[in-house]
Amino acid sequence: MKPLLTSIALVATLPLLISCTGSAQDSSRRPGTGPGSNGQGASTANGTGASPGTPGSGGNGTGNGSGGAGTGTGTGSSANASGGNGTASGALAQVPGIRRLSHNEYNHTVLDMLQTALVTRAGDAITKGIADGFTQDSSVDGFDNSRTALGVTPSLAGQYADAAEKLAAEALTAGKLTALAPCAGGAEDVCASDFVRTFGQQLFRRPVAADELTRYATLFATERTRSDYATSIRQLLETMLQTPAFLYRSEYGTPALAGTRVLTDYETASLLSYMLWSSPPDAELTAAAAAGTLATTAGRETAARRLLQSPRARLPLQYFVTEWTGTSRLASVIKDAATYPMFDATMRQSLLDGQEAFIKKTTWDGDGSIATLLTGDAGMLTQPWLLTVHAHPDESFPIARGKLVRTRLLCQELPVPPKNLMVVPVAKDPNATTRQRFTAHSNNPACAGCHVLIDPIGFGFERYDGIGQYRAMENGLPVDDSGELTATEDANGPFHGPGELGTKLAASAEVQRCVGRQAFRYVYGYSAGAAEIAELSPVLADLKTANNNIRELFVLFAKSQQFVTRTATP
Amino acid sequence: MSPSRSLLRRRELLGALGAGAFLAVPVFRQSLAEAQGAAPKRAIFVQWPDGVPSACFQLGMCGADGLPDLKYFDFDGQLASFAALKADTIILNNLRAVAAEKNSAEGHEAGMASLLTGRSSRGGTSVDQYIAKQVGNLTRFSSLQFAGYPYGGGGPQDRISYADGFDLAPEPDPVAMFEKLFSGAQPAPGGGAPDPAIALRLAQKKSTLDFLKAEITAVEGATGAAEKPLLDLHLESLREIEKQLTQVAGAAGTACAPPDQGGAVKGQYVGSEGDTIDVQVFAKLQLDLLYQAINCDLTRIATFQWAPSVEVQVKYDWVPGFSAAPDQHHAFAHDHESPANEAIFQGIQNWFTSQTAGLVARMKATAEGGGSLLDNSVVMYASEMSNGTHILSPLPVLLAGRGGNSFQNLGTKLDAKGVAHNDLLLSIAAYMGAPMAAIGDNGLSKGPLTL
Repeated sequence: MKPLLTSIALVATLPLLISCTGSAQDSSRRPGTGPGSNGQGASTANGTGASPGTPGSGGNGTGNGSGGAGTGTGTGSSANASGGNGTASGALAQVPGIRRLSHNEYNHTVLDMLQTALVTRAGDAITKGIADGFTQDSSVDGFDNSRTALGVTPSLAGQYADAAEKLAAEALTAGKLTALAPCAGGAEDVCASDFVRTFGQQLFRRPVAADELTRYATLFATERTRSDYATSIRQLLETMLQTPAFLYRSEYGTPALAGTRVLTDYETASLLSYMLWSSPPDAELTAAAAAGTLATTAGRETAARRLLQSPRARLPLQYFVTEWTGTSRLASVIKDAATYPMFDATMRQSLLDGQEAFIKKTTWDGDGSIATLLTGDAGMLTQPWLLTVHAHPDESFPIARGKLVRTRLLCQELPVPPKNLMVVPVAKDPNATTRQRFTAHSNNPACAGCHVLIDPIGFGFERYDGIGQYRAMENGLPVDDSGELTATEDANGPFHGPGELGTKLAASAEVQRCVGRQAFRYVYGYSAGAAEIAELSPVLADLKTANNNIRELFVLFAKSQQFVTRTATP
Repeated sequence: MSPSRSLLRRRELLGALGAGAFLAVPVFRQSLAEAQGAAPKRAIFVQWPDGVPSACFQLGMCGADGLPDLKYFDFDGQLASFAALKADTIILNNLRAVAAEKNSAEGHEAGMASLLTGRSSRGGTSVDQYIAKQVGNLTRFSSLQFAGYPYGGGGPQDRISYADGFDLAPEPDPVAMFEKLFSGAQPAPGGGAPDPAIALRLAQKKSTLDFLKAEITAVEGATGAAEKPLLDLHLESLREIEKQLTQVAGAAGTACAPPDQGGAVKGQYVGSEGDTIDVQVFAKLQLDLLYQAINCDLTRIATFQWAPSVEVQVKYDWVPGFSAAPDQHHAFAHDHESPANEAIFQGIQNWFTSQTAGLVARMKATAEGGGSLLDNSVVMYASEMSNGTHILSPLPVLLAGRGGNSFQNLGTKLDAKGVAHNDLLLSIAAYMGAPMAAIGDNGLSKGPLTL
């Protein structure tokens, strides 16, 4: 392997260089898998004002003056006459706010609260949910629970209304309202008020305020003039299921010292519960909130450990790993039947099963360390489910695998091809290996500037084809799986195959920090770029002493002061 | 959403439709506007992915500046199926995608983010949504977003429509769209009192909406400026839902028959196993629903996305030469070296165009006032990039429709002289009665193009 540029600074300066992907298929096709996704996602925050202009574009810098016709700085983009764009200007990592339930969280929430048949669960997994057909949300950095991107659009408002109608009607016909809002011989308005107070506390994940009770009393009274008691209760429920109190999780907090805000105990309970269970708080956690224990580090630690010991935490943990590694789309990844005729529904299911089993074994059953994830059972990077996603429909596509390591495991941002530079595919050649084809392509000076960062890593995966099957030979030629890591803080050097690569990365502090940043994005629902590092420093210091245990990482989040502290925006 | 999940929903809905679970509405066309004596104005934005086949490279027809000059984007090339409609069209020449060129994201994402916003970063408000805010109250739906492909996707390359920073996903399900368009309360025959059960249900929904609007306002009062856009979006969405409830049909006018609910949608595009989709049938249904929505005056503003930029899921296997590999559209968009692949790519782009031309022809064949529905419309048929190899400019755009007979350059190629495409968006907004001084990035708008 020829000498490579190894300066870390290269990552930051590369946007200024000519580059191209040589890709016939941008691996950024799916949400969040491309280097552009970060900046793009952060830009979406312009709408909410939560974190516009975050340094989330990271190494992209301002991206000005790149080759080809790419010019300008990508700034000054608020000239829409409609206005209404965000106003916050700083890149505060922890701003107060509210966050809409993701569709997955919605399913879990209505199932927990209403035991509805409109959501079915097998084991701990939701197999069918009323929210499955809701308008698809944007992903930000791969995570579909983004606080900044999730809003209630007209389509979704209509779907929420339909779902609430169905859920409430089911509750009425199923006779559950008789249990929820009994009123044998009592005053109906008192019964209705009791219902709102008790069931509302579950739905809203906090006590119902006095003024809310008053408004619901009016709603009930209005309905009761034209409907019977049960229908009037149904009207309350149908309405409650569409309120902001139900649809948004609040992390708004209350004013504290020096311009900061502190989450209420109920907000803290929700954050804990949705983080670890994708679900609302259970009775015990709600009781802890009521008792005020979640305001203390010890109280949050106790609660987090209890939630983590429940089987309900396993799939949310798996969700974190698959969103982080871009492998959530395994269920829909498409392969070329001519190239991979064996890739059928059975194989897909086997890959999905393998994904679940591997993540369970490494992050749930065992010591849960980042090292175990990267090296246990030959390591995550050798797993067919991961390699199948990070490939093309008809070839291994080393560029996708190199990008996976750079962007998802090292949290480095890669530049994008300059505008108006023709990006052409690497032609197929039955007499060459994939590596030979891509090497020739990336030797093109216009491409080499960036591909020197990507290809030497991706080539190390070459003994695994586009569906993750091992191959020593390709087109009758031996496959070279030597690779090299460069431009990392502490993992540089040559390797053979993704197993060895995993071993090198397992010891890297840069990787550990990146895992922490990915968890930050999952837990808080947005990306804050470099600001994440400062926010995370106490957590990361403790993570090291906790053997880099991913489960422990979430406990450390819960224990940290940042978990419950928000910096008020001006 | 994975295809399997959306299919699951489709199967459920098919069952629901079979059970007759919703109410059909007789809808009336152009009632409001015709009553007022003014022709309704409509804007439809149709996006196709990855630009124009790169005949420029093959045939040595590149422009002097090295950029493609879109020679294939003409009536003897990709626009062949528009030839009969030439007198109702304008081909835009030399329109630059300046905002996309400034975007730090890669070409496909940049092109999509800027197409209707004129912005160099994702977000803002796209021109369709700006217009919808101004004049959308005239119809039951302020605007509609259609997908011409049956898959989801939540990335920047999947969206063209934005409202105050939040992206609007196109509807990938004709059944859901049909249900949305044509369900609602049914007025009693002869204008008598409506069915009391339905009237009660409407009153209940209205009561809920009133309550929710007050709740949003209360939350807005208790939270900070950062939450305002999120809550304002929610509030606007509730108002839209409310309008859909109460503005079911116009006061008077020609009855407009919705598609046959028994046959138009149900089960036509989902294979017998429930896991295969006939994309050609799917697309026809979506286009039909778009036409009906316009014809019935349910909306006057719509987007239609033929595919994301970077389409790798649809098998366009009715196009000659297309093999089983589903990523061929995007692969061949990048491939200008193989004439065979180029031909397949042309075949797909031509298909998008012919289907769009079918919609336009149908609008032209629909009488309205003394002319046709097309006379009072503008259809912007555009791609987010010039060429799939990440060449962004010039932006290929065909305008169809006579803009209420205000357009002066019909039947010609209009030289835009290299201005940013923001100016074209201004022209369409102006025609729609929603004039904007500028759109998108500061400094990119010079003023509406004279069409």
